[in-house]
Amino acid sequence: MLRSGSNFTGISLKGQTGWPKFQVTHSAGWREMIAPLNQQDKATLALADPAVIVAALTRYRNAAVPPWLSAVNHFPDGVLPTGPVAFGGVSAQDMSELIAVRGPLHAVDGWSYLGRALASLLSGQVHAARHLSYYAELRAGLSILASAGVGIFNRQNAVLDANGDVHIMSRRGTHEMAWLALSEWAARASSIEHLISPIRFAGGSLLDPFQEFFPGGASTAIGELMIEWGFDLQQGLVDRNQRNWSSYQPTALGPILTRPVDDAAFFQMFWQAVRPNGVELERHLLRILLETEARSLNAGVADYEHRYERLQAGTKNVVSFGFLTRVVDAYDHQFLTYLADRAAPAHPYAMLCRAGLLLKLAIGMAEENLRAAGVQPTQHFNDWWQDFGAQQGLWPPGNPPEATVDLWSDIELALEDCAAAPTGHRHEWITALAGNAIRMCETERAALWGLFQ
Amino acid sequence: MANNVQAIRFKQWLPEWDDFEFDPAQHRRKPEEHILLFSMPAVQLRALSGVYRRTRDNEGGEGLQRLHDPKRSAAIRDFVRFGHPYSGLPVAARDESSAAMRKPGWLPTAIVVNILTEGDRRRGRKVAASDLVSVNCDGDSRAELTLPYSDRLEQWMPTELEPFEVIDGQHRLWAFDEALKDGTLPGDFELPVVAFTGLDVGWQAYLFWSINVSPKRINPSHAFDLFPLLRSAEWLETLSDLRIYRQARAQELTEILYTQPESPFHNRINMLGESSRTAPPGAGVTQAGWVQAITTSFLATGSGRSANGLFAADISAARGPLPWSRPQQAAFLIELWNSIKSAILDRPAEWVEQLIRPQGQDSLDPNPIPAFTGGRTMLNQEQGVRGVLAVANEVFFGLAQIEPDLFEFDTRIQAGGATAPEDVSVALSELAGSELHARIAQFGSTIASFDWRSADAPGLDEGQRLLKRAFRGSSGYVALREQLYRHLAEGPNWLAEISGHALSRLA
Repeated sequence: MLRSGSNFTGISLKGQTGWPKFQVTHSAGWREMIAPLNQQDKATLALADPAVIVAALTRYRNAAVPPWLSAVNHFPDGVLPTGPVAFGGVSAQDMSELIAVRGPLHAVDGWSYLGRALASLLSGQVHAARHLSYYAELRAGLSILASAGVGIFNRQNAVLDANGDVHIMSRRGTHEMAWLALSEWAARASSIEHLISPIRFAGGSLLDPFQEFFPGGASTAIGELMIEWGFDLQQGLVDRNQRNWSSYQPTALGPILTRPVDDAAFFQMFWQAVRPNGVELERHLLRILLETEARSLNAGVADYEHRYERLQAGTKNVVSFGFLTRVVDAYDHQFLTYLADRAAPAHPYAMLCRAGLLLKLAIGMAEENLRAAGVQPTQHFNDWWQDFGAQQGLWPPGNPPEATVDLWSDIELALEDCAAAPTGHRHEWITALAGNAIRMCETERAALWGLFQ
Repeated sequence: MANNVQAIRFKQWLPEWDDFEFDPAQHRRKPEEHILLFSMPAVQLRALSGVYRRTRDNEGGEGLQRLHDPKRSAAIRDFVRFGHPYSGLPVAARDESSAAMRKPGWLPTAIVVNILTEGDRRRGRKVAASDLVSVNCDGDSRAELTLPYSDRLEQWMPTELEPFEVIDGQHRLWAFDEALKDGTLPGDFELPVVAFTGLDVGWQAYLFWSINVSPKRINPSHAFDLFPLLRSAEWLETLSDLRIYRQARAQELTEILYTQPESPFHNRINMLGESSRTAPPGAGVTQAGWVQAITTSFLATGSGRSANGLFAADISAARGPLPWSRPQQAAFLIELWNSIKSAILDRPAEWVEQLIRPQGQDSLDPNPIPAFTGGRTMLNQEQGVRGVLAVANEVFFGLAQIEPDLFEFDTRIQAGGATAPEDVSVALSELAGSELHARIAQFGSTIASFDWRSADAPGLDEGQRLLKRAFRGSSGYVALREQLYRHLAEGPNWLAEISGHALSRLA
């Protein structure tokens, strides 16, 4: 598989003589420091069943939001007892309600964190961008796990099985358990459909064209596919270490700088990759998905031209056979190139893209669960999302858009102005951006058009 | 008796079903608790179901005539004669050397029909009293159907509406159509039949869906063409299929706009979302932008603040949604935009002159096409496309409510399958010969006279520039729509009336 180069032109590391102190753990090293999940935890995770989450979400067909939790829930703020005995005593109903709401809500929060990370990047605060990007990644991971039936709380972790029964896992901190559990969950072949099918592509699911090529379904596990897409889920723990450096060390001891001209290009690239109804990033994801499956069968995509002919005409228009076989447009999307970069110190663009992909997957899973529960988020959560948007400054109070996809046009406009803004130095750039500077960082919009379609 | 058919009568009902919502206004009145099972010669079943009437004549039952794909029926006919694998061989390969591959072509799966009752009406028509099929129950498990004619193999014709509606199995039935004429299949070949009685059309749509889409997963978009009533079925909304239909259909329509030679956007949509430098010439609008614009206009749900989509929502409770298939929907959009393009080219408005001849000093006759395809016209920008589609949808939805007959066509389009460019061409020619065509032309002409110059067009004064800047961004949609309605209100009476209503709603 061809990949474009991963050398960033937009980063410069100052104080190189002191840089070894910035030494961070690389992806290969984290296992040495963090004990893997024990067999009991692995067995418990295997019990996780999203059907229980779907069942818990059915209450929103008739329950106004807010509040998100029912009046009889004993933990209205979502904070569970920290003691093992008390935690083990949480009822199955309380637990399933709590885990169910964490799917959509963690994803929404994750997009908010990502927006603040972009704002930090725009302000030249790269360490803060890294710090916040990691939290966006973490929220995405927590959201995915919650949608799968796994609740990661503060040193208390639980799994809901098909009967709705609660199973307790080891006492591990949130950060460790989130990434270990996500990696373990993703290793199951059954996870692939939950994670990928919600990704929309050319009017359907990303899995639709895949199944025309491979009607038997995907043989690969999502964990392997994520690596093919450039995201090693274990990277989350590496990024956690990166966050630690940015969070707790004086940033002046290891300053990281990006140039406004590169940041401006990054903003353009990033938003186009997450725009509603977009195909830019998705077509690259599909190509890699097909390559991965073909390779597992000791073949290449080029061997499946007869299957390509079965694709819908609309799909063929955005993925020619030449594209799928890398005869044309051979390199991966820059979003994926950034995402796959595991150099240390982690580049903020890399962490932002990692968070962006995870959040796209998380919001898709959350939305799919709600739909499966018979909930129409746009209508059943009408009051909540309209207040949320007004509170975030996305529209004037009482004047929400008719459709959340309308929120894209503000971004498009801001990007258009951004493309014309001078980028000689940061003050000049930010001054020229004016109000667009804030607009370009409002990634909550992506949460809204992902969840409230 | 030849005109009586013995049937097994069986109950398929649970007590808790009594609590379901049975709403006649939603075409879902409470069904009978019992279903009938019997067999019948294919020719008789065809006659009772009116399958002889191939062309739509405004008299057909709900959707029956639009379901037929001749190739599929031919394949079934071959299967019945030869079984697998012989029926799959090319005709040239069907010789004595392969004769051993012949097998029986059993069709043991039941045709599902609905027996119309005295009170049932379909588009204002009903079964003549003398043509009704009566059902007489004999105890709990037996029933006798009395048919309106006695000869099992007679190719009978009803006086008005046919007494049977086929819900599932049309192609199996049609397979016997030509076969009987050429003698390749006997008329007494019997088929199993499951019959409902007096089943409301909403339940028929549901039944079709449950048999064909879930769990077998035929393309939902095709299913919506076969049973238009599904497009506004709220029970599907909760399972996300309606959302998938709208996304898939918007994508399909965008694709047709891009590929159809008659389309003014032929090869002029930025399908990959490329930058303006690498996008195809004149492709100012991305595929994503088109999908969004179509989804939020012609395929809108009509729920909440959403508009009523002409291709998706009920025109009225009685009529349900417009029964247009995908080629017809595409043809309408193509004609809509062609009418705008023609108006710009044939009768350039003042704004066109100002855009293509800003200094007014050109001596050569300038080409007005950049006013439609250039970089300084909103008609080639997402904002303009969204604006045109939004008001066009509301205008023609309003027209469909006032004059529904304008939207009724005789059509040769076979719904429910893949769309070939020829299908769209056929739909365009049918549209061109309709009364609706004149209304589209009036709409196009009126909307083309709106000042579509974008904010960065040369020659705008500061006030104009400010106004046009206000059309940008998410809040600009409403502002542009309001201005468009004000403009359309100066058009022909029907347009002015509908636009006036729209303006009062916006206020």
